[in-house]
Amino acid sequence: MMKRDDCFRVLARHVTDEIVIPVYSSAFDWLELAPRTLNYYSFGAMGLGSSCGLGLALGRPDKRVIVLDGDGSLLMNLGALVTIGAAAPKNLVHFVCRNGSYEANGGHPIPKVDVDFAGLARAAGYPHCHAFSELADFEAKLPQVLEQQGPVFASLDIEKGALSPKIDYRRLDDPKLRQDFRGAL
Amino acid sequence: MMKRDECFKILARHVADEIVLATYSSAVEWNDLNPRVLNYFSIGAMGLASSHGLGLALARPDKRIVVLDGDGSLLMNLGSLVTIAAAAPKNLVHFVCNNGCYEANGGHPIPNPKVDFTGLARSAGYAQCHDFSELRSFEQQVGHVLAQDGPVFATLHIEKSRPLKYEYRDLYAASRRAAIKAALQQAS
Repeated sequence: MMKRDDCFRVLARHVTDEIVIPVYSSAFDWLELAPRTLNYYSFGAMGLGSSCGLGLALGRPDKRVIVLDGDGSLLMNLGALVTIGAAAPKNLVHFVCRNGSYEANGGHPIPKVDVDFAGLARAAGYPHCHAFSELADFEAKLPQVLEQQGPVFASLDIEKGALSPKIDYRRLDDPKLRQDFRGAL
Repeated sequence: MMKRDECFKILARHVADEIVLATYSSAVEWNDLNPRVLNYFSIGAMGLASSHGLGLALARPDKRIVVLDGDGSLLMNLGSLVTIAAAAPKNLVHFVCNNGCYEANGGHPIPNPKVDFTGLARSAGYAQCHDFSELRSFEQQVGHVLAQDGPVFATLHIEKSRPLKYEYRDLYAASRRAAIKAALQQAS
């Protein structure tokens, strides 16, 4: 088991000009750790982080797109795995933070906590699928994960870190964030 | 590769007092082959056959429930696999007819025709998962599949069928629902 903020600190060291799409609790943590114009915070349209990521990956094949999804979020739109597997964007890396709960919605558990998300992605057609539960292992393999030809999938077994939760939707709602993002692209 | 009607003819020989939930093209073919009171045609609420099957399975643990789903239908409600695996009804058998298209909606292809539906069900947590593409193998094993402790999943690799007549008004008929309701109340 890892802490989400520890994972994101490791990830932030490897991110340069990628588009990063964090959802809900991941969005709050990522905003704290790595505020940057190329972040696209996906919330409101629940579950659609991966679909927004697919659109951006197809629209901008010159950029790598990193989705920081949640297990509860993905379950609301599980068919996205198949659509992404079919569209097969080489520039998409799809992380799913697995904490077994709908954390941003009050922390109630997802229907089944031992779902094999990496297995689901593999069956849906993702060419590279990983599952991480140890920080040292994640740290060692992350550069390779980020460079593989996508769509790449990686589940991260996490729990809340010291950072979480700093829930402030007004901050994420700020239209300036989207304007800056659009401007940067 | 198999034909759906041939699979259903075999299945019909094994079905006794199970509730059979069939969706769209499967509903049309199943109704042609095996009209019976304990058929529940899941039409209109697209993709929800497996969810209706779960509800019936939980409410009626004394009955076995056989869902005849489609690949296009399941993809509209894929999270259902996880919900069913979590609820783990022992009396639910979930068949998915995999023809790679949204047949009842005009036959356009599903996003990825190579999806491993059996793998999806296994990863979601179904207790038993099967994959059939040869009729003889299906025929040999269907009795065993129907008798296993569920939730059981089985992909049937089938061809697009002959053109079907979708008589929704007949499948929708209120009298059908009234009849299955009465039959289930009697049996309870």
